[in-house]
Amino acid sequence: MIRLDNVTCGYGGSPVLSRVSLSVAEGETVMITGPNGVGKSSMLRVLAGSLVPSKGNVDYGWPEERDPRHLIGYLPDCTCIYRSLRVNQLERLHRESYGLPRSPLPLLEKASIPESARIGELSGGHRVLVHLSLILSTRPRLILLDEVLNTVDPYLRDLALQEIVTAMADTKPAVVMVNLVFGETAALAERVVFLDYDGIKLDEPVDQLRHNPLVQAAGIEKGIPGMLTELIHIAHGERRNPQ
Amino acid sequence: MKSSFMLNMEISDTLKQTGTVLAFLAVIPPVYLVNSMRLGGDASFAHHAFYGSLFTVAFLMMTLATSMFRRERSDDAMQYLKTLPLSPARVAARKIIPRLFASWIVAVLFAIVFFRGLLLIHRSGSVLDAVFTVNVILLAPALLMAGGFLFDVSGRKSPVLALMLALPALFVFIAAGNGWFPLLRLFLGLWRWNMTPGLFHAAAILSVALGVVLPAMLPLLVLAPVYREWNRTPERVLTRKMIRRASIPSVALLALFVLYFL
Repeated sequence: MIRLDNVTCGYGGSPVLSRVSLSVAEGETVMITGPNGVGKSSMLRVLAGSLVPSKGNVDYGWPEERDPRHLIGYLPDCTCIYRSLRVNQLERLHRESYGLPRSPLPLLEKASIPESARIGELSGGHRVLVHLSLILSTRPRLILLDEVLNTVDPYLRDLALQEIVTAMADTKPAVVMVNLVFGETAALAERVVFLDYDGIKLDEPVDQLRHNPLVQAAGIEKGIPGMLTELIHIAHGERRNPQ
Repeated sequence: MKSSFMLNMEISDTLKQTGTVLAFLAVIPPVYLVNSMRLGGDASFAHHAFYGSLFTVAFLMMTLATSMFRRERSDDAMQYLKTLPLSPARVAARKIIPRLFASWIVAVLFAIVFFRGLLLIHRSGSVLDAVFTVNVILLAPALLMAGGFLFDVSGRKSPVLALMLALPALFVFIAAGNGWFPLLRLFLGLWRWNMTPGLFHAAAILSVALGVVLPAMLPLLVLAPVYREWNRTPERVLTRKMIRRASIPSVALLALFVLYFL
């Protein structure tokens, strides 16, 4: 079980997340959604070990003698990999950093991305696939996906999703993803967490989501994607017109 | 070996940066020719070569020290690097060691050519010269590289932090450049002692260690605990923590600076 316990964090100004708690079981797939600026990406960064909480704890429940980043695969909301390197050079850097032997990257082959291509010359979608291939190649126990797959075209997105589903079936990692567009990636989620400006407002398994009073108020007839979109509208409305 | 590709990448970047800066040396002969033939200057070629090389070596060290994460910043790959399971010590070593070796090699070559070697335009050797050489050639670049690395890690946004991190190398450089006798007198009261040469040399080395090396290293040493969290701390917070932590040792170093050399 991976736990965020009363986590507060920020970037030097006022906190972005304040006393937020979340737990994710191994093998569980959680979708985090909510309006812009509530700290969804920051929550992923905290889970990824890229942002230290100013208060609260992160407990991965793994042996502590090893850097937890060995077991985390984090695909951030930008394609921030070395653009000056070639795919095979980046693969080597990544593999050596994790202390892993060379293994094939089937996703790159399926997407016809040559190993000798320079990252900076690839399209944005291809860069995302390269990064995703790298993080899946380490067989992480926690996969963190920050929205970025929505920038990939439907064909490549299908390839990426197949790869994620294969990894999920293979190693049973916990998956936490941030989604604002409730498309194919959101369909993988077993649980939805709605993060609002004042913390987590909703945390329900997908099959019980319709019974949540907040969701019912947002309009059951809209379906889950419509309800979540409506919740984001409501959150913005509440922010503009605080009671 | 873990992350050998990263080390290769850093060595390659260091060689490129070093080669680019050293290319400036090619400007020295034309400048000399223009000065002597066109402008009627009477400075020798050795004079031109010394100051041109001195400027180039200093510029090289500054360039190497301030470009530790140039590739990451131009590739927008800082966040990716921070997610890799590399220990802070490993990242620092991969970044600093190639650049420090390049600095040392160039500085030693400079010293061989201009201080003891071919052109012989500087004084001959003594133990104080040896201390000077060690400090200027080995210690000052090490402090400069460590300071540059920490400044780059901080996001390079605070001029105050830049001054704090440059101060140690500057202190060592000026301490050596001013000669050691005032420092020795001040630090150990040597003018009262009637010392044998051996004891004098030992005292000189000890006073340099305690009066220069240790104080110069302090502002950087106190930042080690802050750096340990570099990949998890936002740059703004990191900069603030660094300034707060290094402020007292930096002020102390500045006070010593005034006491010794002004």
